[in-house]
Amino acid sequence: MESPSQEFARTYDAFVDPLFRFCAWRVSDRETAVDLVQETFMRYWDMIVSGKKVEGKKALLFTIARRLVIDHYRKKKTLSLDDALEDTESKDLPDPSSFDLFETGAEGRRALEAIQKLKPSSRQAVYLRFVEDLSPREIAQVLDISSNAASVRIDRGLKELKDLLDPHSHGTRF
Amino acid sequence: MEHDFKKAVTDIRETKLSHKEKGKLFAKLSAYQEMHPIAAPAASPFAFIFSLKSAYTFAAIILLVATGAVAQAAEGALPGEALYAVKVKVNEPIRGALSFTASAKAEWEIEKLERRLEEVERLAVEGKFDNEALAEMEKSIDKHVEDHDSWKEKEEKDRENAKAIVPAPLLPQKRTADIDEKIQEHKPILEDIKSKGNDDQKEKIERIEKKLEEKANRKEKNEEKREDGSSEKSSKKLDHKKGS
Repeated sequence: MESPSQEFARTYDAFVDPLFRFCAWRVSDRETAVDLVQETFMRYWDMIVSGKKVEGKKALLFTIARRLVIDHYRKKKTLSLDDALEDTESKDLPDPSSFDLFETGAEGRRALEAIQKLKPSSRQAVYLRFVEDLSPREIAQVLDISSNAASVRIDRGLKELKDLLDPHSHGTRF
Repeated sequence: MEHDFKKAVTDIRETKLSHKEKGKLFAKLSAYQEMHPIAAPAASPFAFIFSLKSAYTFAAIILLVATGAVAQAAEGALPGEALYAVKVKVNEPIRGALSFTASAKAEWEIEKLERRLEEVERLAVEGKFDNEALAEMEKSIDKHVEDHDSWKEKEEKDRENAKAIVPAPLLPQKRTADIDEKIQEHKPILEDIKSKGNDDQKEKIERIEKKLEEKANRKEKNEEKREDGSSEKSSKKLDHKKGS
């Protein structure tokens, strides 16, 4: 029988890096990203303590992380709540020069830059699907949109991404 | 085209926290768990732990975490796991602090060394022995053997000093374990695991075996040094005796 502490540790091990990457991608600053990840897990533990049955850990953790990122930007710029929820997604995405934060090879860098070029409303959906393998349903939960809307954003976004990364239909590499 | 995507994802996933960062972060979360146990809420003066810049953070974390559920859960942790930081940075220092004599401290170093070797063995069996873990293990082996030797020296000195005061039959006769024997005990286990592992794990175990060989030979190296020095000393002694 696993104790709650062991289960929490296991969850931490499984998701700390994906969450860190996501937060780093959104806020372009390592220290802030670590801070947000810490806060995410603290909130998660709070939910465990309060006795809430936790299903779908992955989606839940990313949901918490995304909300904390929004809060972070809200505090920084004192946007109104509506602004924060809607425009933040498009206004405050990191600029490509901050990808030095990402210790990633050339292919990865290309992909991240390409994601930046997508429509603002698709970016997060594509990132979560492409990089962290969340299901459309999980993404719907994280982004607080309907399942259908999520699928549309993902499909459209992935197609755009493929076109950007591989403009020649027969996959000529340069 | 699919091939490129997989590489891109693999690349991006290389961005992650180091073992150290993960451990540090998890230590704070462990303290948070202890402050908010599942049974009952606790008002706590330890809240400052969660601000990144506090200088007293780690001492406070140790205090909070040391005897709780998290510490318990940590005993089985391996390098690379969040709880491992609690095992070696909270649990072990506390146990170390509870050994008071040079002998006890030397014994504790041996026990820590054995814990490291068991971790190596378990990691290799699970195929999880990576470069970061290897570096940590080599460093730990060096440290535990070195510290052990220092405490053994002190133990000897203490015995010498005690002899001057206490008649020999009353001196404690307890024989402390031999670190080199313990190291030998692990050799066949490592060999066995090596034979069953993949190339990467084999390579890593070999590095550990090499490190252990190095440690096994340290005494010979030290004796060679001593012999060069002591042969002078003993001839001087003889002359002195002859004289009287």
